[in-house]
Amino acid sequence: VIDVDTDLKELLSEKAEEMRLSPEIPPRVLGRARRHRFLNAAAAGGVVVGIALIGLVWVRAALEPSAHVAHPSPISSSPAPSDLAWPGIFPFDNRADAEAVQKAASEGHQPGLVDARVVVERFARERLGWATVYRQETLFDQKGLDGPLVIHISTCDATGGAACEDPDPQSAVVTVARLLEPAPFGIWEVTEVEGPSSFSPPAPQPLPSDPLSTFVGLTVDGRLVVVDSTNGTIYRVLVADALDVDPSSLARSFDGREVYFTRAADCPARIFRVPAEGGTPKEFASGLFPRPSPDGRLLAYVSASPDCGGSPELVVRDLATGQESRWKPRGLADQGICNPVWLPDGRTIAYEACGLQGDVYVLDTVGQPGLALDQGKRLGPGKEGWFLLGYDAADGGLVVRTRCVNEARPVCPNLTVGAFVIDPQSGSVIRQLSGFLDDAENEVLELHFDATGDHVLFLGFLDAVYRRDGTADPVKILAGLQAATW
Amino acid sequence: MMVADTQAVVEPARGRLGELYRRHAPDAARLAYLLTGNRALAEDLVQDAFVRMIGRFQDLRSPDSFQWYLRRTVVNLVNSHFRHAKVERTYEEREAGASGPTPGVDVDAREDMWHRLLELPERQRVVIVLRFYEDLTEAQIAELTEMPLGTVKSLMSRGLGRLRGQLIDEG
Repeated sequence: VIDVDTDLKELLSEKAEEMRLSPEIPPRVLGRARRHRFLNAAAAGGVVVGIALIGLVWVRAALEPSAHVAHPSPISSSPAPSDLAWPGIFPFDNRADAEAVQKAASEGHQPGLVDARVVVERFARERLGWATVYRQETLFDQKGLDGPLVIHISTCDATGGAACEDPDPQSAVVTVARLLEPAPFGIWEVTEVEGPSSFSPPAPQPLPSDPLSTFVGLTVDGRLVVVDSTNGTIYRVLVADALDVDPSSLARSFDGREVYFTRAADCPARIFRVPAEGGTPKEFASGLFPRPSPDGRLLAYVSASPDCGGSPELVVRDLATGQESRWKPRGLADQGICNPVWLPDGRTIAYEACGLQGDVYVLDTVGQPGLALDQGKRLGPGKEGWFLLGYDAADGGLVVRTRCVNEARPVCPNLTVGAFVIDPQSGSVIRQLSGFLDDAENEVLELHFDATGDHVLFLGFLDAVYRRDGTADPVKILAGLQAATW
Repeated sequence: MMVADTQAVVEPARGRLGELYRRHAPDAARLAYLLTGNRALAEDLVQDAFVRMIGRFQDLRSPDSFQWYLRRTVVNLVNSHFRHAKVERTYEEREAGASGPTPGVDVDAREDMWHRLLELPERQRVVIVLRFYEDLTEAQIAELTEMPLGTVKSLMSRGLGRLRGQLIDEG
């Protein structure tokens, strides 16, 4: 006689014991924690600081051994998508080729590439054109068998032990690391070269001129990247140390040329601007939620968050003159202002009160210069609260997502979960957005419509970014992102 | 009133994110593993569930609801994972060679029954795992999964019937 009930209980108990989980909070959890609006709410101010501090301490501790090197930790058990921006120069300049050879090396077929000396000497001969290569120290003087190792090489023996036959002596500093697997089978990859005039790294691929063909993303391991919106290829790593970037504050100008982001680790948070083609980020202002206007003339942002003790004013800066207009929060001072959204007229801004009620307001920045932010036209909430997500030009309305604010039950079981387009004048619902992954579980955390309203970028299941064109099925573009915007 | 209630929840969480993770994530991972049969996927799902929990601290009116809600989120994420198989498949094909969810390959004395369980339709497996592993009543399962009680009973009956039938057939 088979007792399925008893067998099932025993089976499930046994199987459950097979599942082991590290007690440490993964970085992706910490990174994603920053994205949620409640982090900016006054009532949760302590949580913000707590999570941010825990996150930064943890992540920095995790990165400490390689914090002084310019490239990522060499060993990753589950490669992050940002690694698609392959840091290797030689012998492979792309991940696919390296992985193919790594597979062979793991089976013992490429013994030379698991020896850093061989890889460096090959690099010098094949890429630098050196006939003779001298290493000026042993590899074992340096920490770690997996690298990164910094190796000094030259065309002449620096110790003077051998006569120099090179009429034009050269030297270089080469950094190598095992990028795919640890010792003993991980192959070495040259990741950085300094010194030789005969070598220049490959020029970065130019970005397509159409802004819609790319989007800007923030990876879960903290890199700001420009991504091909059709196939997920990473064109650029704009910022390599973006662990403290606030995912909710990512923005891009409508012409696609400028990227704005906020470093939120410090109080007050700092807004930076960097060209989408790449370059050095420049600090722009203190504040949060930078949002370029549709015509590119203005930039709206929130001057501070209550967590940092500042007054959360709405600021609109003229990018040509630097002149600023400010709106004081008055009754919204304690909870702060979140996620300002420009309407297509280039003068009206919608914004969300970060606190617990889920109010959304609109303000005419030209016609209402002296108004306090709690005197703007209040659109919500109705029986439920809203998160403000963006603007849908095709329907002519603001995009909002419902949030639990009024239910007595712990998790608002009666909440009408979903994303909606609402009229910016009346607040009435124009339509419910559907066809995304799972509105019922509120999985669509962010929705970014392009300027036409025909193309949507959204963050969904397991940190994946999806693109939806018109009413077509969503297409998954790239996993491992905590934020993305056109 | 609402603010006070919410702060009562937020306050204990202050600076204790790690403690919450250590306390609740392992149980959630075990549940996710039983529902998917895949350790890596289970770990990902729990992380994702935890992220969502973090985002809803302010929605929780009682600290006691954390575990219940985490469990519910895991179940929903598992459902979502299988529901979106089509999208995932397209992505995996394009990523040719990228590592994706693969069935577990554990071998032990109960391997056969384990595989039978994993081959059940998703919703049948969910109610069976919640009943026999989490020891929830059918009414609790209905609340957790937001399915009518009758549907839960029906899924349970069909799932167990299928397991019994297969095992007896083979016996």
